[in-house]
Amino acid sequence: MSSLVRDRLRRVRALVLRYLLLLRRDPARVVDTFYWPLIDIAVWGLLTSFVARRGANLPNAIGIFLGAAILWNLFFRCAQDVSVSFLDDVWSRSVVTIFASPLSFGEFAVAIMLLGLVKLLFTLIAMSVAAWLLYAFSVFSLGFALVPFIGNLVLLGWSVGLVSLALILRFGGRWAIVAWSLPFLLMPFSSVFYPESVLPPVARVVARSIPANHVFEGMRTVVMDGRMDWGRLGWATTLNLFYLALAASVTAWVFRVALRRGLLPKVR
Amino acid sequence: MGQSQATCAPAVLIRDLSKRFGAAAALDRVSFDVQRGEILGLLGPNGAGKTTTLHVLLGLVRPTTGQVRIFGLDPHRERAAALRHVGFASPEALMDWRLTVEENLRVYAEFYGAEQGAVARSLGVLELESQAATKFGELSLGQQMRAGLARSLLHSPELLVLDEPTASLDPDITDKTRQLLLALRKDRGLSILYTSHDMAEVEALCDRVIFLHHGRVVAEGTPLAVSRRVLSRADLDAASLEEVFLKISRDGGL
Repeated sequence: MSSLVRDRLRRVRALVLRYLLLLRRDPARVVDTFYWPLIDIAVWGLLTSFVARRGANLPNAIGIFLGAAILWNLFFRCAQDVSVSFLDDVWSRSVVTIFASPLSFGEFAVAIMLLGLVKLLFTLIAMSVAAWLLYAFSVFSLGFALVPFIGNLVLLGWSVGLVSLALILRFGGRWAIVAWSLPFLLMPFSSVFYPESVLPPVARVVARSIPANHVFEGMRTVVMDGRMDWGRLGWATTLNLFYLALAASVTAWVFRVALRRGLLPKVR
Repeated sequence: MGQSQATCAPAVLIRDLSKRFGAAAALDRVSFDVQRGEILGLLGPNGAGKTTTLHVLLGLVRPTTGQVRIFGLDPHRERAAALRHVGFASPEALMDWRLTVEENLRVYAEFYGAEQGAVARSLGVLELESQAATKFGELSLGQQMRAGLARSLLHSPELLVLDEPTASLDPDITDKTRQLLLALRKDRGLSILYTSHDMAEVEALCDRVIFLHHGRVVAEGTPLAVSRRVLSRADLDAASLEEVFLKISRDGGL
């Protein structure tokens, strides 16, 4: 491994470790990682119990709703962690300090995306244990399909997170609310808790361009039919790779604009 | 950049540097060098372009035109290689307020690839050992500035870029900081690019000064030479940068 690559990896690792130290030092971060996901499990589990008691004809309702709640949370956390990590630096006025060091913006972006992955593991474990203890549902019953589903949601989360980061970099921290709303903009078209077929025709067209829609449709196929829909998975992966490349390009462009306009030292 | 060129290049080379933000010119054809082992004061009233110059030098703001080099390296194209030579401290460049001083320094030591023991050594140099386990956000402004200086020294840089490093320090710590900078220059041949509004401190510290006004270099030389020229008093036998500053602030010094 060349010294250049070694140096890059060392800087990325240092930044990831810094954010993990923050998890330990800042109890508010625990709320993000554990509290809301566990609330979601409790609420969706209760709703599912209610639906089941009313005798609704919905086989494997627990798997559909809790599986969806877990996967949606993983996507949302992944998207949010990218922008929150950057906001941590904005709020502590350390953006200048960080970018006056040899750390590049690319390394910074990779570090906060990796951090999202680490925190996602915490969230996955917490939600899985809660779903098992409270409702005897194991998300791992999805089997091997869980890996590409989560992988695709991570890719989509990174794309949305990078766009959020670009918005904050360009327009300042006051845009954080808008940036955090982005995942919810996708939610109605992502078929998280209902099938794509219930959407109006125009919305269905939009939904097909959103990778999460294919992931959640694929998840329901696994739960209800016990088979993997490889077509959906292929679409999700293709769209995700395209969106991630697009989001990375847009964010890199916004960073260059920020350098040109002198926004980096002023971001608040 | 060839090895021989890099080894003989000045610590900082700035040529015809201009920076426009829309219609406003923040810097207008600024040129100067910081020689190796030299302490250069970059002075001027608020809005003169000092901080913009430092930000361009540190790769935080891209210049509109002109050339910037750190030991022969372009901080915009060879970022990691160039910035590895630089330590930077400023009251505007803080660290994470929730982490302890030591934790923050450990992270930055990794960014710069500092050697083992660098954190303890830096804490010792700035007399911050007793604050090592204190959260950065719980330090006083002066202590935060000292922690910033400790951070800037972690990787034994060859160039220090200091933006008003003594702004929040009490006279005792200010004096210690000044002695430290002089000692670093003497022992390590450190080059320092320095901004301050404390003209007495600048006279005590800087080999040369550059005055900026409305983004242009309006005076350059030793503190005494600049004082004589700007104040039109060839008989001066001691620098009087306070007067120079006031004259430049009020009428551009010309």
